[in-house]
Amino acid sequence: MPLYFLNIREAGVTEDLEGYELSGLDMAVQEASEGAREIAADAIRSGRTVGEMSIEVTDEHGVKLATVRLRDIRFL
Amino acid sequence: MAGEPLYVRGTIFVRGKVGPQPLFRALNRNKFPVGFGCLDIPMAYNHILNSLLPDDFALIQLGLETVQLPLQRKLELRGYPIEAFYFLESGLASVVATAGAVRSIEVGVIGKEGMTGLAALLGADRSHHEVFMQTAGRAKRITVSNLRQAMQKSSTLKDTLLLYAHTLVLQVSYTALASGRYQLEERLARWLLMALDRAQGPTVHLTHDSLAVMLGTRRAGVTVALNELQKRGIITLSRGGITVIDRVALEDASNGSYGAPEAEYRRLFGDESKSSDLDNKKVERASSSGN
Repeated sequence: MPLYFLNIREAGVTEDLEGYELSGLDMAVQEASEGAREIAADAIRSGRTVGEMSIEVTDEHGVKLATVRLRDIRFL
Repeated sequence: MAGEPLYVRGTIFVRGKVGPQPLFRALNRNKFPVGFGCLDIPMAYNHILNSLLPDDFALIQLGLETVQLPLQRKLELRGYPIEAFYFLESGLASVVATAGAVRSIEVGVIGKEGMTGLAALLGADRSHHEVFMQTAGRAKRITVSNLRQAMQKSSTLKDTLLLYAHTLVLQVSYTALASGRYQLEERLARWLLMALDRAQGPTVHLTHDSLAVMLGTRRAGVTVALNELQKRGIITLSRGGITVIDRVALEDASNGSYGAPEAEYRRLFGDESKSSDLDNKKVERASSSGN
């Protein structure tokens, strides 16, 4: 199975050092979306802002395949 | 003290009650030539075993077997009978409650301060948790039947082990408190402190993926929370390891979710890092149990 990396981008980039073995890009984007919702939920509860944060999905060569922006999460 | 099991060998005449750990310390202090002779006393580096009364230790000593526990080794399986208790001497065991493949969360951790087999200790025959090694280590293993027989013979042994069961239940109840009323970063701080208490040195060897499983969250959230602690200079991150630089700040970051069960453990079992405390506790509990 291909390996995907979910890097966190805010002011800088926090690299995913471990990667995810997933069946395809769809699954990787879904993991990023669910991760983004959890981060946003935690931020809302603790009163922090994470609107500038995004999760980038890359392949094992570091090529960016997709971006999930936290500000795009629909919750209202 | 990693490596092969150690033995004290020699003709030793002892007056009064002395457990193996204080005996070894006494020998070391007086620069006795430890290592020759005919008497073998297996050494334990588990805090419960070390705090047993000498007679109680003698009762289970022959049943104790030193075993190496590699990463991910399962010590208990959900729905299966528990075969043995493990008194950990190093490494970290994780007690996980699970409902299917995607819903699981760690409810307790056990290291050199404790033992596995809570259900069997309380009299049940099987486990409803998964218990496995989160960090490789070593343990003294004893079969359930051997330890139960000894517990029937000695009320002080039984009392000590039930006291430990109480502290583990307390830890699990604080995990419930943390899971329900604390944010991810606070829970992460609590978990790192518990792992640090059981680690050798300042580094916790663990992947972000297993941290996510233990905290019942997705790894992206763990990465953000770890990064936040790193930005504040509390920890440093490297491949496969989290090094705690500022323990006091980490305790602050746990926001009170860490500490109460640990304090209760120290009250009942003494502080592992202060050996004199350990010996004092032993005397105190021996006299209070009316022996």
